[in-house]
Amino acid sequence: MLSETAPRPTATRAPIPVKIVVAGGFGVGKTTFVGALSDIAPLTTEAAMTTMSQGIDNVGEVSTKTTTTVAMDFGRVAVDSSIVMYLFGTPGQDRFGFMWNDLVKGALGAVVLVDSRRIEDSFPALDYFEHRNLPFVVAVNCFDGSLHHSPDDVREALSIAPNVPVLTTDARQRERVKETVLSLLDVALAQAKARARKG
Amino acid sequence: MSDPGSEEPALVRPFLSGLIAASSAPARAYDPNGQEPAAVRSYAMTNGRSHAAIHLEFEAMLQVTTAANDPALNLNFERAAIVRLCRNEILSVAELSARLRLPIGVIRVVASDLVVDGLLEAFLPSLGVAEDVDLISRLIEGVRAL
Repeated sequence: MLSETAPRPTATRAPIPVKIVVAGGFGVGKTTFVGALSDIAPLTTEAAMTTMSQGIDNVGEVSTKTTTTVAMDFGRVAVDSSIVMYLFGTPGQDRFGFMWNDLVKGALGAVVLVDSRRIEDSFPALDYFEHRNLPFVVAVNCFDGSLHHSPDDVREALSIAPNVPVLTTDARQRERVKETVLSLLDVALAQAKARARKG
Repeated sequence: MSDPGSEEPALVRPFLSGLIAASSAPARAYDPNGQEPAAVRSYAMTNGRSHAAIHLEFEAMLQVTTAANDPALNLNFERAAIVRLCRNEILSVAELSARLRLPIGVIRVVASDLVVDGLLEAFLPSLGVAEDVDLISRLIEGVRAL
């Protein structure tokens, strides 16, 4: 398809985009997490989403249909010669969780980041992923190097199913972020194999 | 693909396209802080459509075809901007949105048109990624090596 004079695109084989969603409460470190692994500085994109207001943002209007512009940060990682992994942070206004559908469609899995001082902020993300057939892991972000609650405490407090890994991470450290993504990929692989066995 | 509620149907006001076409005001860059004019402006670019012929995911990647190198090609500026960016590298819908400061919905529609017109080639995410043991294994290997 490409003429000899055409500038040669970077990938040598057709790229395969893969998407991973990074969810969690506002200020939990989603963008930092994305940036720790991304080849590029995280970019911000915006999507206009139409939704039925849940009464939280009600400004006294009778109409409950609203259009909201949500911003999301994302990064890109060239995993090998053809796989490009995109890490998308969910929009900060997490009460609009159901607007993630468009973002989550086709995703391989999700990392739910938890701030152990404000674990309740992760409820919307957990509720969302628990009701979807999407692999996810829960990662407690240790901001200041200290952990306010152990992963076991967090698991209990959030009633996380035994088959969902709860681990600690540090969104600022590339190696820790890598470990977290790998634990998600392990869950995804196990589920893919289980599905393959079922035929 | 046309999942109600996940697209942007409320902004589709076909009458706006005529309105905007009649105006000779220079286009303004999408300004995330100036909310009101941006909504009109963005959707005018798509002639009021929010549904694309080809569904492009946020991470769908785009590259120019040889047809896009035709010097006689005369593209208007959003289309030209997308083609220009995809000439140097393969970029996703989300990256085009970020770089051009246009909402994802707009990029989806305009880029989809460019694919239909044969100027862009799209690389879509694997639909069966959740079942793709080989792909996930490659990912694990690749991420370990990062």
